[in-house]
Amino acid sequence: MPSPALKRNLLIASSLLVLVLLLVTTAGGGAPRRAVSGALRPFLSAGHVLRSLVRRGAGVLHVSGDSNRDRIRKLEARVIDLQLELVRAESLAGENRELRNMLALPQAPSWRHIAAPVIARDPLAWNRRFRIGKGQADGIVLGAVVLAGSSVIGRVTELGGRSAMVTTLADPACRLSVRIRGAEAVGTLVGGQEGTWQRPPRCVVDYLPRDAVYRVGQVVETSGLGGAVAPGLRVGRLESWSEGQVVQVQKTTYARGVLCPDASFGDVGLVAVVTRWNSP
Amino acid sequence: MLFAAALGELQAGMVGLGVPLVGVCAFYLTVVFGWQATLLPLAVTAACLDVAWGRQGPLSVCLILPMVLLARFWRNHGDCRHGAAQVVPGLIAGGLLLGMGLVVRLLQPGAWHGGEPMPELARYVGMVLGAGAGLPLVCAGLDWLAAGLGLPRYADIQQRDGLAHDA
Repeated sequence: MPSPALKRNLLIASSLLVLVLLLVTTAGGGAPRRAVSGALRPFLSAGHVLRSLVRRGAGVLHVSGDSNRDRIRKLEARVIDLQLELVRAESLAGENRELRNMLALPQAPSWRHIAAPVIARDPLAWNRRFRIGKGQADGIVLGAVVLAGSSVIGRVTELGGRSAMVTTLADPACRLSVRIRGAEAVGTLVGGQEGTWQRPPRCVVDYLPRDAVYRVGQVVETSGLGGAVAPGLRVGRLESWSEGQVVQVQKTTYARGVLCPDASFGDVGLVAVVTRWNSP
Repeated sequence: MLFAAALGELQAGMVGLGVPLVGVCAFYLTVVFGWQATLLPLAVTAACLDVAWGRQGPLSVCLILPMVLLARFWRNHGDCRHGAAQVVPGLIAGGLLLGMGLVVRLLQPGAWHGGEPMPELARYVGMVLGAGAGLPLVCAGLDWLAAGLGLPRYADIQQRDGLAHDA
């Protein structure tokens, strides 16, 4: 049996360590947090690989010999289609280059898409945050826009060596400069500020010019202002603020609208992070 | 074992299941080995879990402390012998995690905006029921392992305590 003094010392030491741990976990983006998430990354990725294998295995079980041949035929046809599409895209890129040279326009900044698997997702913050299996070492930068399919789903808010945390458009911490196509108005998107718990996430588009003409269903895309985010990435569509009103004028100076994101928050397995080619 | 529980909890989270496996293991280990031996490894594991999920606050670490208290109470006044009785502390563990998660969420701006009711409700109910079903299973599995390794068993712990008191 340990002596009472030893028990007391153990209690004090334990309490101190628990306090330190509480501080470490709450210090968002700190070095200890990055180190822990880096150390856990291989195990989280292993889970992703395992899930992919299970899915692939299930697919193989469903496909018999005959349907395999059909699948190969369909895939060969798809390869030919894609080759034709590539030729068309190359010819368009050449034409674009020539036109730019003729007009002496600056070359558009080049962006790349880095595919990343989702490796951890908290059930208590399901729509708001998730961890991806790519980080600084793969060329991802803080604040980079993340796409699910072809629409923006969020931004990188915490960066580790080999993993990163994405905050989605459903979280009020996610902010983005957006442009409303057609109205040519630029505003600031604030994630998950509007709507009710019965509906998928809605965002507020704030600080819009009050005199522009807005319509329900107008496409909202990234503005590219500041140069940190690629322009023209689709975010969602404008919804009506209230009955017969598309936007609400705030303090007689600016307008505020509601956006319905295009991205699906439910089942996100793979995302694309958009960064500049020359990012570190 | 704690590491496996943390990985299991993370992988279950990926499919939307919020079963507090680390909390359940914390309960088992504290009942069997006492809080002095288990508090530190439990706190480290819970902190790793919070970091991996990118939580804003140390939710899992906070869950460990009531689980340790509950385990001490259960060892002294509860029933460790019958598997079915372990559903009760399991449900309490699930309820605690859910309660703390909801409090953290309520503290955030736009707390209830942007949820999808049925999947969200199913996740919350699954969290509590999963913990309720998980604890008896964890107790049975770890007791089987402990019997093989010659370690003290959860089901016998109150009997041992009684023998110790008698002695």
